[in-house]
Formats: sequence, structure tokens, C-alpha cells
Amino acid sequence: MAGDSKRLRFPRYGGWPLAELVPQPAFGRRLYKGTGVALALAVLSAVAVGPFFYVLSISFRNSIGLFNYPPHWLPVPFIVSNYTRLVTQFPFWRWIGNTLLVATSVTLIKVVIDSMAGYAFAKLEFAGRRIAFGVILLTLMVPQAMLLIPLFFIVRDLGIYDTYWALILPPLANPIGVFMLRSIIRGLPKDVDNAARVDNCNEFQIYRHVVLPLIKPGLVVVATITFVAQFSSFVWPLVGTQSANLQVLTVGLASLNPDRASVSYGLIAAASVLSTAIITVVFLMLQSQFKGTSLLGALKG
Amino acid sequence: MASLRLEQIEKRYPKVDEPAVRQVDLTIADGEFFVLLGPSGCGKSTLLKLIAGLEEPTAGQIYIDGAPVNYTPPGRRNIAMVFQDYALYPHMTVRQNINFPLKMRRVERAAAREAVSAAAGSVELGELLERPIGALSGGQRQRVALARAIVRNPAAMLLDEPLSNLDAILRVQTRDELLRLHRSIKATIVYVTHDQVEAMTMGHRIAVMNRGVIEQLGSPRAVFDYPRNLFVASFIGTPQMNLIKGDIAREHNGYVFRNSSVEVTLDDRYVSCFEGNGRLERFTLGVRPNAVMVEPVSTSKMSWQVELIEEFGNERLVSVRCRDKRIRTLVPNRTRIAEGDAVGISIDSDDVHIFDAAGVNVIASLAEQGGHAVDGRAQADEDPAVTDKR
Repeated sequence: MAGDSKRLRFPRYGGWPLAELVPQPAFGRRLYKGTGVALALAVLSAVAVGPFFYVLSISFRNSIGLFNYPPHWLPVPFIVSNYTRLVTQFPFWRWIGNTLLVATSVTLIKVVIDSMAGYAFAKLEFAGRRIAFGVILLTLMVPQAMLLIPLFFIVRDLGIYDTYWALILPPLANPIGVFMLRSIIRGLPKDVDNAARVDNCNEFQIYRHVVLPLIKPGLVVVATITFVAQFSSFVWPLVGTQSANLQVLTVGLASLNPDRASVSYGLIAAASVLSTAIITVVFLMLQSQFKGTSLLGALKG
Repeated sequence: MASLRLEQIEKRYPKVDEPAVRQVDLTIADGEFFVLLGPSGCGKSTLLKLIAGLEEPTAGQIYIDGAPVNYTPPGRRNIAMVFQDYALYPHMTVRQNINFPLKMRRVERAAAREAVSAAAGSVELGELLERPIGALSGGQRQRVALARAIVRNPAAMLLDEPLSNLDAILRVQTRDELLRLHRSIKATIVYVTHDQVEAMTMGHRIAVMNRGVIEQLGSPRAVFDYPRNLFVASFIGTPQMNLIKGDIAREHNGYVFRNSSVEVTLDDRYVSCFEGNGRLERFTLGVRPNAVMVEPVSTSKMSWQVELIEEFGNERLVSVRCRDKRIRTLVPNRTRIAEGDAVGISIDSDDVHIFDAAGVNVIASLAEQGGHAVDGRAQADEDPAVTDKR
């Protein structure tokens, strides 16, 4: 019949192509492909992990064995004196303590200030908002090295040179957190702040009860970036302080070889290993926070 | 529960020439279901935000229950609002969301718990209280937003297109629930929508807005039957009203509307409109598709060609053309008609509207001047007293 020829014909197996119909590589070929990827990954990991392993190895050797050629990868003979010397003859724990104190303070204060500023720039109308934000962004474009000397004078004039304040206050002025959090807050569901306003929140309560919980993933990112940056910052702590008991880890590490004649590489390696271990732990802690909260973010309606 | 009054409200945004809202005078009675209707960008949401206190009027005065509230922050106005995208707090559970307005007002914990249960119960959310917001469907989220609004017994509830994010079936269902809810809590409701079906079915009164001004204010019936101007006429009613340009001519004892394709004899109501009126040119005839009849071409003066037939189920929407004029008409679904047919049309002269060159309905404007009692319904139009039409 004429009608029949017009009827649409569906494929026999119905619907979408079945998985079996899609050509699959033979087992041998799959194995071969997998091996290639594994090998490539192995080489890349070796390149990435190698230096860390070498530093770890050096930290358990004495400096004399270091210059053998070809270089040894394993610490033979195995000694721990680098570590004992580091913690007994140098104020290593003090450096760590200073670093953690400064990095933690900067991170906490920065997260609070930046999220408040981000909220203000994202949601509030006030005179000069654009200009103020523009100026803040401009400071991103000034090289840090250029600020060193002016900053030094400012800190000296404030009378906080060679104090913890000198280490904590200047890094707070970095605008990257304000910039990031502002865009995150702008991306929050439309009108949640208005809903909170109708629900009798003042601006601080909106920030505290609604915005802050919602931008937690962003806060963790800012916290991580800030903490890591503080942990490894060297030039300003060197310039801004003088006394030995204010030295942070980076400055302390640099002071391990006061005279170039006898550089104790083993000692420096040991200090590096310990500091890397600490920052790794902190990073993992923050990262676990990030995972926990990013799930919450995904539930956003 | 409360009444709302807006006096000469105007809202301008910096660097925008045209005000978002201008010269709005409005009284909304206690317990009324009031609808602000208009196309997007007409200022209806802005007006709602002005009432809520989320925006400050550039000029004018807003009163809630007689008290001026221009400088009262939103949280102290005793109003609740449901936002278009619900604006729920995604990091909280359903219970925490509904409880939040109470928590921010430091309501005692036991009382709050009771109020939350009651509010959740009235929108059938009782079993979902401990769920996170992310685990809810669109309709459920919408109900959470409603529960959050009614939980503290607000004087007025402001709803900003609350149904626009729901699918068609859920929308009708929620519309009914909303009406039931309104009847049970008897709150004053200001409801913003661009959907004229929602407006017609739900509102005691409708304010049709366009470009920041209220074009017409009245009961759904009055707005539908007596559109005050061309904008209201074309905005209210589906399918849209036919608008045909032409002139008025005096003939025998009455007047006729006429152009190259259409001629409609106007009834006596129009005599007073045109009597002593010098210019009778550039008028527009408005007629809804259901008031246009299709007839055999032999009985008609003009021959129209059927261009397009759209099936509506019970009815068919037929577009016919004569020269450069197009008219759409609704015919019963059994009418034997096909595209390409030549037909005649007749227009029910009781159901036409005449708009002058400025786009104003000549009869409605006359009625507003108080000169003539055109129709009882048109008078009831301006009476803000609420009679429950349901």
C-alpha cells in the first residue's frame, strides 16, 4: 500500500546504537595503548617527584658525599644529624612558629576583610564604588618589588618596623582576594540578599548568615592561596624585620649559610623537607575543606 | 493584614532617561488579591520592589495601613516577598529556610517551631522539612518560598512572577493552590505577572502596566470588556484582538466604521461619542477573534481569503486576508473551512471597540469623564471595594 511506504522505518535494534555495535579495539591493542599512557605518566611523575626525592635524599647525607659523580640517589651512609643540628643549633621551631603565626593571621584577617569588601563591591550601591574598585584593581598591576622601599618607609613611620605587625599588615593589602570573592558573590543566586533583607536582616547579617556560608568554597581558595603565598614569601619578611626572633622560615633558611665558604647543603635540605611537610599538611587540610564544601555549592538552586 | 496605598510614586534610575515607574497612584484594599500585569520591562517588578522597600522611590509616598513607610527598611514593613527565582537559601534545609525570617526577628524557639510546622503544613511540605534545598523539585522549592513568606503572618505578600519557572501543568495546579491559600490566610496579595491568563483568573483587580505607568486599573472583567486604550486591548486576551485602521462616517441616524475592506455599523452608544466631533479620521477598530463570524462569501460584500488555520482543539483560529487587511477569527472546530477558501466575514457590532488617533477607547474615556453611564460594569471598574468574585 502507498501508505506503508510513507511510514517511518526504525532500525531493528531500536533507539540508539547499542554498545556492541560501536567498534572496540582488540584486547592486545587496548593493552598496548594503556602501556603507552602509563609510561608517559611514569616519566612525567619522575620529572615532578625526582627533585623532591633528591632533596629528601640529601637531607639524610653529609655534604661531602654530595659531589660524587655520578650522583647517588640513595642516602648511603644514612645520617640524621642534619635534622638534629637543625633543631638543636638553630631556632628552627621558632622560625616555623613565626611563619605559622604570620601566615595564619594574614590568612584569617584577609579572608574576613576580602569577603566583606567583595560583598560591598558586589551587592551594595555606594558613591565611588566603581572608582574604588578600579583603584584596588590597579594595585594588582604594580610590581611587588617596586613597593618594597615605599613600604619600608611606611612601616618605619608607623613605628611597627621589626614587629609582627610589620609582617602581618602589609600582605593584607593584596587585592586578589577581593577581586575573586567579588565575582563569586556576584554569581550567587539572584535576589537571595533581597530575600534576606525582607526577612529582616541588616547588611552584616546578610553577609554573615547568607553570603558567607554560600561562598565557603571561594573562601577556602582564597585562604589556600594566601597561606601558601605567605608561607613562601621571603623578600618582605627579610626587609621588614631585623631581629632574629622575628625570623620566619624563609629568612631563617637563608641564614643557614652565613659564610659562603661552608654551605651545609644537608642542613638546608633538612629544613626544606620539614617546611615542605608542614605546608603539605596545611594544604591537604584546606583541600579537604574545599571538597566538603564544593558539594554544598553544587546543590545551589 | 493590611491595606497599601501608593501616592504619585516615581522611580528613576541614574543615567536612564525614562523613569522605570511614574505617577503611580494605587490603593490596594485589605485582603485583596491585586495583580500587576504587563510585558517585561514595564516596571511592575520595580513597583513591587518599591513596596517591599528594596528600592527607594525617587518621588511619592508609600503607606502600609495608613503609615508612611518610605524610610522603613524592608524587614520592618511586615511584608513578605516571593521572588521569581525563589531566592531560597541554598545552604539551609527546608526547615531552616522557613524558620529564617522568624530567627531574624528573634521569635521564641518553641513558637517558631510551631509556626514553621503550620506554614509547611499549609503548603504540604510537612514531610520535607529536613531536606536540603538542592534535593527539591522546582514546585517544591516554590512552596518553600511560599511557606517562608506566610510563616510570620505578614501584612501583605508580594509575589514576583512566582509561577513563571514551573511547567504548564504544575503552574495551573499551583495557581489553584495559591488561590486556596489566599482564601485561607486572607492576606493582602500583590501579584506580579506578565501572563494575562494568570492575571485574569487570580486577581480581584488588575493593573495593566506599560513603560512605567498604569494603563488601566480594574476588575479582570472590566479590563477585558473595556480596554481603555490600544495597549491594553492588544495585551489582554488570547488570541489577540484584531486591530483595524479606518475612518468613521455618519450615515442615516448612526455612525459606521469603514475602510477598504471592513464596514461595521456602530450602535447607539457611539452617537454621543462622535456627535459634534469634527474629525472622524484615523480611528482603530478593535474586535476580538470570537466576535468575528465567518459566513459564505455569497452573503458578504467583500471576499476574504483564508490564509492560515490553527487548531485550538475546541476551536480553530482562522486568519483571513482581504487586500492588505488581515483579521483573525475563532470558529467552532467543525466549521468546514480550508486554507485558500474564499469566505465572507461579519463583525458583531456589540463587541467592537473604537480607539481614536491617540489610541484611547472612545467609550471608556467618555465613561471616565463621568458624562455618560455607558455600562454598569464600567463604573464598577473604579470601585476599589473588594467583592470576592469567586
